Amino acid sequence: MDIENLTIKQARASLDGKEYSAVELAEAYLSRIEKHKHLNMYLEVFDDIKEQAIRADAMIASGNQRVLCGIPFSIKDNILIKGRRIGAASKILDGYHATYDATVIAKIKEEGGVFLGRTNMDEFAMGSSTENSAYGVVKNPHDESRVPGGSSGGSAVTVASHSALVSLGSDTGGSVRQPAGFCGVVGLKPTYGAVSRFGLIALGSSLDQIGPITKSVGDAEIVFNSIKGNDVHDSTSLPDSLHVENKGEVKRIGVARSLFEGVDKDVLLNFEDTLTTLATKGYEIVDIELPYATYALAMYYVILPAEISTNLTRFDGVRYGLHVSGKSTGDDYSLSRSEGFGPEVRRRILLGTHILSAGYYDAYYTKAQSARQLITNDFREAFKSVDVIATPTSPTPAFKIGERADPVSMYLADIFTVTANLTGMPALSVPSGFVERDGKKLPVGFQLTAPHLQEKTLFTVGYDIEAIQ
Amino acid sequence: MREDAEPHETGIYTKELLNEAPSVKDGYIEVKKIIDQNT
Repeated sequence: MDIENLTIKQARASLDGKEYSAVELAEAYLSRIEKHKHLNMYLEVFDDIKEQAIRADAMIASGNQRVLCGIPFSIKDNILIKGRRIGAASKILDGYHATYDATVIAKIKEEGGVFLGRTNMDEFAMGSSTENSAYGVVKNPHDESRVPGGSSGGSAVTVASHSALVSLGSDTGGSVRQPAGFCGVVGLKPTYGAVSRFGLIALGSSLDQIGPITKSVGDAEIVFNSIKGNDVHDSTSLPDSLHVENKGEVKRIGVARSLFEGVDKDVLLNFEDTLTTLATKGYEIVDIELPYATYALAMYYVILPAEISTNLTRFDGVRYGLHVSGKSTGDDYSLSRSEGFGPEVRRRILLGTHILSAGYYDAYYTKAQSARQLITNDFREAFKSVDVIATPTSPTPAFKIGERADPVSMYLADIFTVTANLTGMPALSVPSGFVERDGKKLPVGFQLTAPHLQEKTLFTVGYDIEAIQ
Repeated sequence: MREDAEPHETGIYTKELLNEAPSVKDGYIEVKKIIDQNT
């Protein structure tokens, strides 16, 4: 079993061909998890993995298996699995167990997927480095002095260190794609509404999407096809009739170089080299402009905290999680939230509450939401002349743990990823090589954005980028 | 959006939900008294 080069397709063939069992496959991953424990990627490794794998083997023996049967998954700590602990890497959910399955989990369970454990993350998905977890930092397996990215850093590391075959993360401003880029794996943020958010602990409800982190574009496509679809429990999920496979040829790749000021020169060189190679494969590289994309980060950090401040009001020490008792109910709220939330969470709640307050709501929130439409219009206009838009996934390779203590410098890591969440369009990060730092090779990612519901377009170009590597 | 119809049967999730609450009494989530009649 060549676990380091294993894909879902290969695992499927081997499981169905009885080369090994789901139990043996799960055990192989358990031993990798043990070997890489020091990376702090898992908050919990489940104690019933063998039982899950036995059930998967029974499905395979019956001949009723589907593509994800027996496949080992890690799941970000903000996606609910009924009966299991979940906490969004926050103390405020200490002791809480999920009371229902997220829709994506129910779909994977139905197919017989095996859940290895829940992965470490930035607290409530707020962060770009997985340094904001209440349970310690996660280390990048390519250079353990560096961050894996965030907020799905634990998920990305499980796949990059071969401690899971697939992971599910969540992406609100790049939290699947950026850690995928930093860790040298594939990350997909689907079209907003393509995958149900039911059972995902909400961060920014107009921005969040669950997405796969995988070793290959093919695996991302398989998982996406299994988890997508309309859900009666999520009124923002799109009708199935809209999921029409794109049959058009992908010919033109748009590049807005005016946005690349300040990008690390080695990252830029890698990006341009990849474009040059894609051109030799028959793609036309087209210069485009996205005038309002310059304001994307500012818009995002107005809209997101506003939605955060609302979404996190439910964590009051009353219905679930940590309860700190004071003299009054008001004191209970204050003490529970002060003790339960970490600094970045408190920062964003304060910011968001201010943004939504009387006298500031129109100046900040309404204006940002209006401007958001301008960015969407920019992308729609660009897609009249190109099929996909390419950028580096991040402006730098993975930075050192502790390097970006200033929150604003951390926010700058999201500069290329937030537009896909603001517009709702799908985006894919594919590994495109390495840059060298301190004698270590650090992965970099190449990001593609496509029009709404054209994930197939992303995969088409993604396969060609993979072939280059 | 879906119709505001077909609610699920009352009480079918109560036990599970209350199991997760920090403080429970007589089948309710317990909170401190908010309104004092004497003030």
